[in-house]
Amino acid sequence: MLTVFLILLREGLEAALVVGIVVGYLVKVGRSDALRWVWIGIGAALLVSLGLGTLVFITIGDLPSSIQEPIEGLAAVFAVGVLTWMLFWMRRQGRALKGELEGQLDAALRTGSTAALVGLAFVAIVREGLETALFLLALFRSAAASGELSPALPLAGLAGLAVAVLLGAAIVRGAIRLNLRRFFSFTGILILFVAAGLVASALGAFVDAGWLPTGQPALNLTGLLPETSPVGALLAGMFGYRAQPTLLQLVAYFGYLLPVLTLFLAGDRLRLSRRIRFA
Amino acid sequence: MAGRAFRMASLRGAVALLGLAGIVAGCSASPAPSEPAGSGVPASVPAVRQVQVSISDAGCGPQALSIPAGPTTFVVTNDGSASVLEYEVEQAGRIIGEVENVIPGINRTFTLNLKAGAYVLSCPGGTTAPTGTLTVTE
Repeated sequence: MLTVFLILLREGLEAALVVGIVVGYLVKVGRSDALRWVWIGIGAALLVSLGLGTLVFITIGDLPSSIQEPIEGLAAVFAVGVLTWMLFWMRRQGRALKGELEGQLDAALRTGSTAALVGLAFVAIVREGLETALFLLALFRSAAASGELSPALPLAGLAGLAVAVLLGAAIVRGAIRLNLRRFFSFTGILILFVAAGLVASALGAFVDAGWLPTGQPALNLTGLLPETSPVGALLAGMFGYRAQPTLLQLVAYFGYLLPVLTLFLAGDRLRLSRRIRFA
Repeated sequence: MAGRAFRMASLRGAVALLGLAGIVAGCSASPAPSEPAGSGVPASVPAVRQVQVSISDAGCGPQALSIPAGPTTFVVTNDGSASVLEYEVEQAGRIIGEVENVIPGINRTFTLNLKAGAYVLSCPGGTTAPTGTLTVTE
């Protein structure tokens, strides 16, 4: 039962986190009007996942990995692109801030950027949504079919999804309370790690799709922190933690994280040194 | 013989693809087969062979699998404690089919059109049988 809970927590957490970042960001920059489109994007993603999942489930049973994994991988690539753009846009905004004059933020998001953010929310949910729907349906079928599976299992799954949504909401709520500059730094760091996890996750999906060769695990952290443990599942859902990453995944993760983190922090330091000079 | 099997398989593949195209277009009218080895499949198309395999905490079971060539549906169940949740078939270092999140109590399936040859089975996280062999005969 714990396994089912953790699987769905993991699948839901990344989506909740990304949607949370988008919502928190729009609220913070005074574009709450665009939230309507985000909700529409979320609704559409849930409909597509559930509708497509149900259709696939009753027709062919399971979606072949040759179709499902490329969708997951390409969606991750798109998400990394938008998140990275967000990161540097936010750094610029953070740098332009003088004092704590919230509400005077020159955050005229163009139509294109709003569309990208709505697309990000959509993609974040569709990415794992289809697999999640198929997994849940398989659970319900087994529970209904012969009683060989306790009905508590599908419910544990739904509880996992609910906790993921609550965690996402808690993060947004906490982040919105921060002042604008702190918000940009906090969200920026969060985006960095989520995006780095997505880079590794995209590579994993392309391996599962057969687009990339399988590699031997470069590390085996299963004994230390298994992915199936509560903490492992949390880290896997939030930052793409893998207990047995391949060399390619490790290189890609840090190959994204280190340069982008350096650039992001360099912006902060630049601002700091300028302030000191003028002081 | 192999050629015929291949033609049949690609016909089936085309049917499956059409079904998927219908699904993607949001159209529910496609009369796709209701089961992988379903009774709705026309008699001229050979039924897809079903192979029952399992994963356990040790890894893949059986560790050495030998089956004839042709379209094959792997029905994967979990006999373990859920420390291993994934079953993969690899060829030349690439995954050609897999299922994830197979917890004890459910079965999940994937279908491959296998040609004769040697393949590798992989059940990541298994203690004594994390990998296995799949031999496909003519």
